[in-house]
Order: sequence, then C-alpha cells, then structure tokens
Amino acid sequence: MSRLLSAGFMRLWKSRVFWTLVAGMFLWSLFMVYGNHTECIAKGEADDTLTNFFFGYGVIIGGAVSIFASLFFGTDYSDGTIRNKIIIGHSRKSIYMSNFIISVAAGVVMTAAWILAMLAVGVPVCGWNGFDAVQALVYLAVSFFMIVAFAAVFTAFGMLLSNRSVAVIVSFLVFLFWLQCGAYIYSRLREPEVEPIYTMVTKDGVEKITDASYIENPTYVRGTQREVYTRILEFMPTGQALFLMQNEVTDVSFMIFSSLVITVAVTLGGIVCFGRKDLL
Amino acid sequence: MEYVLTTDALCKSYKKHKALDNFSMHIPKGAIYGIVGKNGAGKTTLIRLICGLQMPDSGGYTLYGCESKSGEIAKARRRMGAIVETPSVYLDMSARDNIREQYRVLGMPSYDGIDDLLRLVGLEGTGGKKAKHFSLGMRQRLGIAAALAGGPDFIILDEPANGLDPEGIVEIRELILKLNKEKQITVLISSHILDELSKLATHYGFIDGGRLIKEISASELESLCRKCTRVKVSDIKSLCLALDDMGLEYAAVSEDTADIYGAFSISALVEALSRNKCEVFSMDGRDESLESYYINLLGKRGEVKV
Repeated sequence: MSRLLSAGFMRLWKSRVFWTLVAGMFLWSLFMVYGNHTECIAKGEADDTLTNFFFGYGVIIGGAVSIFASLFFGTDYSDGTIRNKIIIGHSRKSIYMSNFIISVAAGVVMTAAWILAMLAVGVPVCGWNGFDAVQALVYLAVSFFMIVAFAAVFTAFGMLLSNRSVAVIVSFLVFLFWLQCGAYIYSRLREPEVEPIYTMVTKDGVEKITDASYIENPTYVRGTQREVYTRILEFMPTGQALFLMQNEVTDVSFMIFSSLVITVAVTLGGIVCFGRKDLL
Repeated sequence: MEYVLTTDALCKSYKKHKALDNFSMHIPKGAIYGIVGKNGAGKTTLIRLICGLQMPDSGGYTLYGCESKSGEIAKARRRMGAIVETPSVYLDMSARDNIREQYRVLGMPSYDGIDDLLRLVGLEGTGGKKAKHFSLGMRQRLGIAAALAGGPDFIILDEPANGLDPEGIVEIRELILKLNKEKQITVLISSHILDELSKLATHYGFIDGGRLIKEISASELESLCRKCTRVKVSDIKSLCLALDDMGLEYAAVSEDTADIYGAFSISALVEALSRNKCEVFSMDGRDESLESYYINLLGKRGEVKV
C-alpha cells in the first residue's frame, strides 16, 4: 500500500482540484474574518470573529471533501488508471484504503488552510478571545475525527460510483441533505423553552406594552425526544460541525466515538462493495 | 510447451447474458496470440477477467503457473501489463509524469528507465505536453509505455488499432513486433481487424458467443489456408470420381461445389466430367485468408446451431 500512497500523494500534490479547494478554504476563512470584523467595528461591538468562526470550517469541509473525493477518484475511473493498479497486482482493499487515507489528508490540509488564515490574519486583526488552549485542542480532535468520517463516506461514493459526474452530484447532494437534516434538528433543539407574551394596554389614552409574561413553547423538544435529537446530532458529522461552529461541544467522547463508528462501518462496507465491483 | 496463461472453463454472465461460456485457452510463452471474434463475442470480458478487473462466475485461469484463486496471483500479475479498451493514462499529465506515476504505483526504485521507455514508444520529444492534447495513436503508445513500465514478460492489448489512422496502425504493429522479438514479450492481442492481426499473430484463438471455437497456430492456419480452385458442377459425385481418378486432393464444400487443392489440368478435368455428362457451371481460384477461414469457421458453427 505504501507504493499506492506514494503515487497517490504525488498525484495529490499536482492536483488542480485539490489546490483549488485549499485556496477556496483559505479565502473563505479570510472573507469570514474580514466580514465579521468590519461588522463588529461598525456596530461598536466586541470583536467575536475568532470565537464564532474559528471552527466554522466544519460545515464547509464536508462539502469540500465530497467534491474532492468524487473528482479525484473519479479521474481514476474516467481516465481508466484504476485499471493500471489492479492489473499489476494491487489488491482492491489496498487501493481503497490508500484512497481513503489520501482523502483524510486532503481534508486535513484544506482545514489547515482555513485555520492558517484565521491564525495569520484573524488573530492579529481580531485578537484571540474565545478559547483556552485545552479547549481548542479538544475541538481540533473532535473536528479531526469528523473530517475522517466525512472522508470515509465520500471516499465510498468516489470509489463505488464509476461515473465521475454522477459521483460529484450524488456526493454533494448527500452532503447538503445531511447538513440540512443537521440544521433542522439543531434548530429544533434551539427552540426556547418558554415564549414571552406582550400585551398592548391603553392607559390615560396612551398605548403601552405590558411587561412580558411567559408561556410554554409548544415546539420545544423535551424529555427523551430531546436526548435522542441531541444524540443524533452528535452522531452525525454535519451535526458535530454545527456544534463546533457554535462552540457547543459537550460530549466529546461520544462525538469521537460516533465518527469512528461511521468511519469503520462505511469503510468496511465500501471495501466489500468495491471488492465485488465489476470494473470496466 | 510452456504456457504463460491458460484459462479453464471461464464463465461470466451479465444478468441473463452469458459473456463467457466455458472458455478455455492456452497462450504459449513467446507467442503473439491473437484473439479473434466479432463485437460482443467476449474478447474484452476475457481480458477484464484475466486482468482482475472482474471476477469469473466459475472456472479459473493460471498465470505463470499461479492459479487465479490463489494469493500468488498478485505476484504473477506484476509480470504483466495491459491496455483494456482505452489507454489508461492521466489526461492532465505529460507522458513523462504518467510513466513516473506508474513507476511509483509499481514501486520502482528509480526513474532510470523512463527515457528508454519513452524512446521505445516514440514519445521522447513530447516534453510537457499533456496527454489530453495527444493524438489517439500517441495516447495508445503512452498506454503501452505505461503497461511496459514494470518490465513485464506478458502484455495484453485490447483492440490496440481501434480508431487509429493507417500510419498509427503500422506504428503499433511495429512496436508489438519489436517487443516480441527484441524483448521476448508474450503478447495477447484482441482484434477484429483480421488483416492487421494476420501480420502479427503466431497463434490464434477464435471466439464466438463467449466460447473458444478454435485454437490454432499461425503455421497450422497457413497450411489450412492453401490456394484452391472452387468448382461448381451439376453432379458432385461425378466430380469426386474424376478427381479421385486424377489423384487430386479436394474437399466437397456443398452438394454441387468442391475445392480442389494444387495445380491441375482444367481441360483434362472438364473432359473427364463431360464424359460423365456432368456440366461445369463455374470455376474460380481462391486464396483462403485468415478472414475467409474465420468466416468459414463461424459459418460452419452457424450451420451446426441451425
């Protein structure tokens, strides 16, 4: 497998798709820094850019990995070069695993580009005001395993869908759907438990709003349902991305465990399916 | 005889379509083995199975003495290279980068042989030009170079002349002959351009409906494809008697036609037939080629089926 990795990483180094995505992550990060910083200044508020956006890459990296994996591995199918690897005796398992490792590496480098922009530009401009070092390291660990899970899922799509265009579309749609599911559950969890009610009264001919009285919010998710929703969100990489972005990571070990479960299950399934796949 | 590859009752189906049906073949070491068959006969399926791109439903093959189901097959595969349908090269890389990539996949210790390889296939002057800007012939030659990167003893070429112009076809032919003669590389080549194949092959396998219907060496084929005269008469029995009397070798093709081998006196034959009141309707010289052999072979097979 070391030979496949060597060839794969050399190809990665020369890949236009990969460097475009890396540059995209870097520029997006800069854009977030600039946008939020100028907004904070305009509003006269404390600059919370780094707190809000340092781990904002979570909701983007899944999409970036989906595009990368489907295009990078799809080229092996469209150019027929995957055949060269099998013909000379590399096992399908080695080919799959080496591609998975390359996906993880690509995801990590793309994430590093985001973080680099935050550190190189964000910290000097906005200041460091949110995390202590331990918390930052814990969040980085969670996000690393989240990237591994994304890489496992989208490597499977890239390896099992021989048509590159179909792979790109399907992978990205799956990511968007997954993100949408996460966003929906997250929004349900963010519902306030009680809602204020204001009443308009007229006193001495003057209309006035009374002090708020509170009623229970009927859409608030409570009890077991709330626990299940939370677990689902913590289990899904897109859910983890939302928690990371909002700095709301609580159950670190469950999140890492979930990412590992997804990674192992999807990779084992992918290897079995790829092993049985008729290649053209 | 030492065989590089033998297949034993290979079967492969795609849903209800049987692409290969008990296919057994034998490729001798040092041969240029031409696999001949019409489109859809099962040539590419056979190559895909041998290359490990697909798994047979049943049966197996032996490559350099290693059974396809054994773990050793991966090692045996290191001794082969192949082009299946289209050349497998990265289109956004130059010729040199493509070969470098293949060297890495192979785990070659250095890039020393790349220049020689590019020279061998005539791509030494392409510089940084990307493969997507190559002509089809150049891509085909680059594909062959990639297949040769590991120094294989056996290469498989699936329709290498497909889509090439006449000049490209000649270039590929000369390259294959050079590899076979100078580097003693055994070649399995599939084609339906029979005229082209007849200029290369030392052995033939004829495939139809997923079955190998005939395996024959080029020298055997040559002896079978002798010049003959096809005679059509009113009474085949009289013709056979006359030919027996004249001591000529012949083969009755149908109820009124026979092929006569070797030179003979036409006037003597006509005279002998007229004595038996047998009319001669036509007489034409035939030079049986690979093409006519193939057509006859498939024709006979068709008759059997009916």
